[in-house]
Amino acid sequence: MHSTIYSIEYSNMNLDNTKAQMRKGLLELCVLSIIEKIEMYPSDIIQKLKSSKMIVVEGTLYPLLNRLLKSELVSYNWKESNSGPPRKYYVITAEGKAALKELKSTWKDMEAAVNNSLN
Amino acid sequence: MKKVENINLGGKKFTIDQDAYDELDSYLHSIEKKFSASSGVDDIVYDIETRLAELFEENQLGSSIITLEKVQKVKAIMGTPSDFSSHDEFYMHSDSEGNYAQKRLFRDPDDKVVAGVASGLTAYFGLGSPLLFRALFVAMAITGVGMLPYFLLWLFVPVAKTTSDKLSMYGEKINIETIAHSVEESLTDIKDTLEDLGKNLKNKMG
Repeated sequence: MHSTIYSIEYSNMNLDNTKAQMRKGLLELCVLSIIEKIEMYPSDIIQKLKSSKMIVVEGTLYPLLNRLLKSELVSYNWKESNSGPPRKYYVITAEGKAALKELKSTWKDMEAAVNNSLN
Repeated sequence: MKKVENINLGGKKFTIDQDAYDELDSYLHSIEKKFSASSGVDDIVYDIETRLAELFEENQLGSSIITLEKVQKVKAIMGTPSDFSSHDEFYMHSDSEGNYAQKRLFRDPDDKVVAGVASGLTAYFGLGSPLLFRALFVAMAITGVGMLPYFLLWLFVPVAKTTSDKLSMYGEKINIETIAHSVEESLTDIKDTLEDLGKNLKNKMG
């Protein structure tokens, strides 16, 4: 009896972790893709990610942006704002574009492979 | 009646209840601490503060004072540092070289004559029997050196309390951060032991 309950809880925990890992891997691709066409303010990136349920809590984005910044895949420009202090607008770099291209093709291969094994 | 504070959050001015201020302050500190190993910590905290300011503005709802309830609401949207760093473990490890102190010098409470210093040293240097160190300390006490080295080790070396302490007793070096804490404990320990010794002596005399 006890062991059954335990194993159900245990598998739920693993499942949450797996889901988080799946999102984590794809989040970078999504962020790069969102800022590919137009430079964006973090709060606008958040809106896009939230509407597509790619992030659960907003805080996830900031360490990620900072990591992309340090690997020089993105950079930012300061822009004046009507309501308050100047804002950081994130923009993709040439290196970022190359990385995005690679990630996109990996995703397409994976998507096909996963769909193939699901069907 | 409540005391309020005026704060500048992300370049915007807010009036905030004292209890809400404390909550927000400790939240921001927890984020800062989580990313303190990274050179980007200032950027991350800046961006998060900017976003928090926006969220407070969006949630004004009539009253212009930030209450504890509003802080909690905004925290739920932003998430706790452990929520969002678990998504980014790679990042957490990228800047900080592993500071894991796997091996440390401890005093061994299971094999002691006075405070377990000799047996701890024996484990640390991988020797078989603590007799060598015990003889050394006795020799020091008898000769001109005195008891000071032993007392210093008693003071600065923590006692191995938990199983993991005992496992790491066969170790490399003392972790500086824990010294202050262990000194405090050791002082009480020394006091107690000396008191016991005193009582024993009194009993024997009396």
